Amino acid sequence: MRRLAAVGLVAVLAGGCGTDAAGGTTVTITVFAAASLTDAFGELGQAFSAEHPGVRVRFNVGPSPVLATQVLEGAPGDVLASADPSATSRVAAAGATLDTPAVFARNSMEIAVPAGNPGRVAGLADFARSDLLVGACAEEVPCGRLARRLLADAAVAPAIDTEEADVRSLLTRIEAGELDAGLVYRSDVLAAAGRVEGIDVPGADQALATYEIVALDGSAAPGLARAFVALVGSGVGQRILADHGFLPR
Amino acid sequence: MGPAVSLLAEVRLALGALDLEAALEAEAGEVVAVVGPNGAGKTTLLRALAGLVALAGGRVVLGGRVLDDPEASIWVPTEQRSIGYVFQDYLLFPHLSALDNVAFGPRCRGVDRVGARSLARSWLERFGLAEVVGHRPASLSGGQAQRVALARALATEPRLLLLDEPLAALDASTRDGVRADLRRHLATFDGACVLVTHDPVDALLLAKRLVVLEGGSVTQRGLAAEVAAAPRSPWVAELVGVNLWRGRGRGDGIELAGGGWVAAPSAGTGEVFAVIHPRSVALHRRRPEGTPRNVWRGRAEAVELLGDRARVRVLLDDRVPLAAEVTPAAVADLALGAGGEVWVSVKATEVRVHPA
Amino acid sequence: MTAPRLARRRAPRPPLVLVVLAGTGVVFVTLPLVALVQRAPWRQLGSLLVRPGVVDALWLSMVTAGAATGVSLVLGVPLAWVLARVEFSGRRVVRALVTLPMVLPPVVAGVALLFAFGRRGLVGQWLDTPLGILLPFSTTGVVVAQTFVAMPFLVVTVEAGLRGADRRYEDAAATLGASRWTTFRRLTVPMLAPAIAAGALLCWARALGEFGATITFAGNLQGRTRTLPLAVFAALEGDREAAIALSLVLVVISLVVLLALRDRWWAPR
Repeated sequence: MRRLAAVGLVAVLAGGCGTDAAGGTTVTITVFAAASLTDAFGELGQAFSAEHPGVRVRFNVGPSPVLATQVLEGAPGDVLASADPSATSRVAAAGATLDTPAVFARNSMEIAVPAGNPGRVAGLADFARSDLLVGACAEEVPCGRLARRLLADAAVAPAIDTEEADVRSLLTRIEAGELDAGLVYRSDVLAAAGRVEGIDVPGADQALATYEIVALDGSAAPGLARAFVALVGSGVGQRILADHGFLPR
Repeated sequence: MGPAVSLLAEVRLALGALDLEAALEAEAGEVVAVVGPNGAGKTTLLRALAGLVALAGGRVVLGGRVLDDPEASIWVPTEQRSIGYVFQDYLLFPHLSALDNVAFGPRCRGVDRVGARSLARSWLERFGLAEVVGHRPASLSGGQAQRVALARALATEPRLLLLDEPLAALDASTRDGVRADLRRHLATFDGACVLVTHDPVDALLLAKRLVVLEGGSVTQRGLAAEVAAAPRSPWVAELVGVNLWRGRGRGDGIELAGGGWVAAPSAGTGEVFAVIHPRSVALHRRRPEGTPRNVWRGRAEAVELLGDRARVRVLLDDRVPLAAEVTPAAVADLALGAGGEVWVSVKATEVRVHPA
Repeated sequence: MTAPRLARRRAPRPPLVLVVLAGTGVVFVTLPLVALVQRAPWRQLGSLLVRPGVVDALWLSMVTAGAATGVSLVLGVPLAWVLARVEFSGRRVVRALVTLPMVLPPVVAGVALLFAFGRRGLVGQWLDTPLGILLPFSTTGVVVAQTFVAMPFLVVTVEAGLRGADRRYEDAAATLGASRWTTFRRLTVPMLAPAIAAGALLCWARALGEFGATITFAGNLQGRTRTLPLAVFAALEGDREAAIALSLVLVVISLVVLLALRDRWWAPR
């Protein structure tokens, strides 16, 4: 779903700059961001606009591999922030980046259950229970690969009921109570606090997602693109990320 | 033969622009023809008898059973009425063979598949349709389709048979043969039959009694010969006021049943009807000379003015009645009073011949 | 003035503006398909199409679209009959509601289905705990989503057929003693066979292409809920070659269906 929305958004953004409602000239930069970054980057965008008056930041949110494909197919964007280093390297290898991608954050996995834990899930072993509805990300995206690694390390043969395209659609299903449990990022549990509960997974610190960011070659405002990358790596940026449950690089 | 069945109907209803109010009776074994111009309500009357439209007032009784009586809140739905209905364009079910079309009614009335089919086969054979049993309606000729429709309507052995313009869809060349067949089959039908037609020949050849329907009301009723002899409106005169004689075809003429000879080309052989339109009859003071092949002597019995035409009833040889239609001026010219002597002539080519 | 009129009639040249716009329309619609064909990995096509994930999706799509069409026939033909033949107040509202899924975004349909048949849904909560019936994340759920979205196409086609049909055949059946049910069964349905077939084919094609409602309501799991369109979607993230191959399969099937329908759909009786 999120993907469809993202594709639509790209179409809308085919322009770049325009005039705002007040009549003043505005510059818009577009950041392609992995789904798990949605909330943290929303706040970062506001911080960036505060630093650069007249500049608006828009986000094209989706699974990292899809974002990479969109960039390679020529979708207009200024910055790529991905949860999947292989996706970022694919873009860099094609020469579509201004600089070398840099790691800016990491994330660990947690079990998320709906508030009240109706399935009485205690740990990874419960993912093998056939009486529960459990979900994971698809194998093509980092959260799916990490989830499978954790389950394999714990020697659990999971009875997965749905493979979601990105971590946020998985989280939505858990929030709605349609799933009893799912493996998501710690930052996602924090984002949905009150609606989902997190359960720690042993060995989660051994299976971390690595986030990389890079300014894109196709940017119409390379200066602003690099400035946004710089903000993410700065003390302000890192603090915002930490507030949202991300681990430092 | 079952018990005598008769139809007693008093139909009152409004449908669109039509206000229909008509009483109708038919005895067992009797054919009543409802005639009238387009839009007079003939088909609506049939549909009311069949229960395809509801009465607003009046009642329909068939063989003592009340089928429709709005005041008494009695209503028997169409499928529970013992009727057979032949629609103007037959409405044979296009996806079923002739056999299954005829078997449809018996099947609905509880006969099993095998029984219904053998019943249908015997009906089709009786109607001379053995060779088209497996044909779909699309591959039947007009005459065959009409007979299949009649067989389908009769296969449920209804107590009331409703025929809506049963010959109208046929071309002139097949109509005579099909009409003669229909006459034969109706003669063996022991229920009541109501026939709707706009064709005087059909009405006079198929029905014993006529009911004239104009603008939703009955304007005249009675034995066919009576209505034909004394039409009460120009329309009736036009429609049924034709001269109809029965006789035996003798090649180039017809020998009338009560004696007498009518010259007519290709009169054929066997029992026939001779139809002469009153307008084809010419009246003269003296014996006419020249081409007309039929010349008779007669006496003018009555003169009646119908709009811009005058209708003269002539008695030929003191026993054969004949209607003629002339202009009022001609009446004065000929000084036709009751009992006046006249010569009558009819061109042989104006005599239409139909097999009985 | 006869001569010029004749001359004009002999050369009925369509207005240039219309031809240019129509041509642009054709190019606009066909260009993406051409691009898809142009990117197709023709050499590996054979091996791509026999991969387990692809075979699973193909088979699952056939089964679920077939089942959705079956359910649509059982519910949709009587529904079309009632809409065309029974007069009742609110008929227009019912017709609008029934055809709504045709224009509703499928994602909305999926969310609505979740609220109705999901675990905590209006009806779903009663299906789940006492009865142990769970529609989301099941193949049955896929059929439910496809039926919801595709049935209106059948209803609309069959109702148009019924409205075009001569009702006097039903009168004729009644005079032969057929109840309305018998008439429906032995007359209406067989005579309507072409319209029903067209509606069913259209319904099947729509079910086959269903994506939004399915992924939202039924989830996405190979062999259970991952139909062809979902497999295309999943493959786009990793295996683009397979995604294109699957897309080609869908395009070919849809094209065949539309060609089979061309007369009936554009010129219903």
